[in-house]
Amino acid sequence: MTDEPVMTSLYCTNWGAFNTPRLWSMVENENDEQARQQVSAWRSLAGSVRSQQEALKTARADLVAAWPPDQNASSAAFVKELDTLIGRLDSASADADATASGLDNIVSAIQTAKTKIQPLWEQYKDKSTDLVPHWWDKAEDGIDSQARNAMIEAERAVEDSVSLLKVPQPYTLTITQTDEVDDPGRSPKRSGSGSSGSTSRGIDVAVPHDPPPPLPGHDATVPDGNQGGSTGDGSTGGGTGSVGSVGGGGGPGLAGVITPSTPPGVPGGAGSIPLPTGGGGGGLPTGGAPINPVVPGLLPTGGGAPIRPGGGVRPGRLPSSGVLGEPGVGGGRGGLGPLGGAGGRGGAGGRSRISRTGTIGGIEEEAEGGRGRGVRGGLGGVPAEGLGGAGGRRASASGRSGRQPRPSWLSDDEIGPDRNKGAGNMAGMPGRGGRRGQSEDELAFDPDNPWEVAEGVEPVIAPSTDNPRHDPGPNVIGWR
Amino acid sequence: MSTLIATLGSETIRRCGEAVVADGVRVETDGLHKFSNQVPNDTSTTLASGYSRASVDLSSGLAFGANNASGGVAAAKQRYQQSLKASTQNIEAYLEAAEILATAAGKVAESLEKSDGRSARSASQVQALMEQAVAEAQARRVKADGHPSTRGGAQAI
Repeated sequence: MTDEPVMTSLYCTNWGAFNTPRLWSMVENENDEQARQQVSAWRSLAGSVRSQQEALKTARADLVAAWPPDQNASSAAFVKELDTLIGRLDSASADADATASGLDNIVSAIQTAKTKIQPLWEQYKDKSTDLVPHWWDKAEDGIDSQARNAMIEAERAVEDSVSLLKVPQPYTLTITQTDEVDDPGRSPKRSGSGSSGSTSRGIDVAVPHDPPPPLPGHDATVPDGNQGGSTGDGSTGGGTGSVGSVGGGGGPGLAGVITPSTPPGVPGGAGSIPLPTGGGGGGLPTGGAPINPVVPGLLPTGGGAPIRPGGGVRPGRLPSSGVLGEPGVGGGRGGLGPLGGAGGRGGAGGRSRISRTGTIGGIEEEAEGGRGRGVRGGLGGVPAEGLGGAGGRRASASGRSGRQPRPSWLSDDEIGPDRNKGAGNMAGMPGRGGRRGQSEDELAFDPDNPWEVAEGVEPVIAPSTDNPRHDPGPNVIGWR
Repeated sequence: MSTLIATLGSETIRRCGEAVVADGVRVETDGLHKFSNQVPNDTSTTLASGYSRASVDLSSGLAFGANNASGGVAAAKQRYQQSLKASTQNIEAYLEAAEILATAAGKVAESLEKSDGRSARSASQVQALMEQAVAEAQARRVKADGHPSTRGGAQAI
């Protein structure tokens, strides 16, 4: 086994840069069954190695009885190689058992985290789709904190088990010629060595590394010794690390093994460039006056609702297919991410200055229509994180919507208040749950009904309940 | 197999399955033949079959942490990959070594029988036979799956 120190962590993770949806996406797809099968395979392999070793020991005993090594140097040379092999099999069996234990511990730690985070994710979905915006009650922060703690615990357990994954020294049957002592008539010679020249290939698997991107404005890593996420505050963390350094500088030999993930929407993968956080959704061809509609409970911190020229913001249809946990991107990621159809959304260029929903205190976002390069100011300097993505649809629909595409990393779980009712009987009913079963056209913004809200959501603006009386004045024919 | 060996001056009396080298050391070539036959059989029923079964699951890919941003998990994945590759490479090398030793033992037995015990009496001669067994093993491997220099990029199993 190699004597090199075992690196238990390639970088310090900034857990504060990940909220519950992101954390859930990290563990959601963990396949416990496959991992357990591999643990079992390692155990089985260890047993097979032990059996092989026992068989060789038995064969060796018979061999030395027939060809005593203590009486024959030729036998001694042979048995020496055999003993080396038996010894290596002994350690190989122990190594395989240790690796099985290490893998078991790692998988268990991650499964434990998944078990803990799953109910938190459910809570998060409930909180994020209620009528109280995040900036008002900060309800999601507590959930984020618990989810981060679960991940931190899992990470520590994993780090404790990394050293159990044994990396043995390569074995080669080496035939070393030794001095011949059993033939006095010959002069001793030492003629070097040969080997089996083994070209064993072994099993080489890829190392997938595709974590979700950190929250906008955050780096995925922090300098050593700073666990940025322990506070559970979405504004913590930061640090100087960057996602781009995950693979490259993490440790020896990492390059080429783990490809650093480029957060969608981050040009060039530079962690220092914040993800666009809003705007872009509107086709505001010119700057114009800032639009500042405040729609409490619907668009807490953004969300890319379509902005009509002169018409303000359509209240987003929160319950259906908003992007949980994603700050209001509203077109920012569309042009750069996997769905990145050029000009898939937004207006024809131009820079819009809009003050978004939930911007009490004047959070302003600056967006570049269509391209979605956004810079967002935070309330009191705290990068605001919110529900976002309340309205709209995918960029491929028509380009009218400000809703961002659903990130590839985000769970496919149904969201919204009707998510537990099932989607089957809701299909085709606007404003209800089960939007995922609807076509893109059904999700499209209806210009004839711009104030449509989801069922169960109290409209902010409603027709007057007063009895209308239209008085055109005197001398109007037909008026009585 | 006889176990009685008499040494009469420079002459020896031996029976089938026995060889006596010039210095009078007894060698039961049947024992070498047995080793040569038994080890491949044992290997086939123990390590070879076990490795074949295990490799089905082990080669299915890394089963944890694909989407995890943790530095610890990233280190574990990297370490596991190294462990899997090194361990399975060694398993294959053990299988090969057992085959080589078994072949070499057979060659020693044959050499002793053919030369009436005068050959295979020195370590260097045994080593030469082992090297020959290695070369034969390599030749079989090349025949089975291509030249070693041209199959570096292939995936195992």
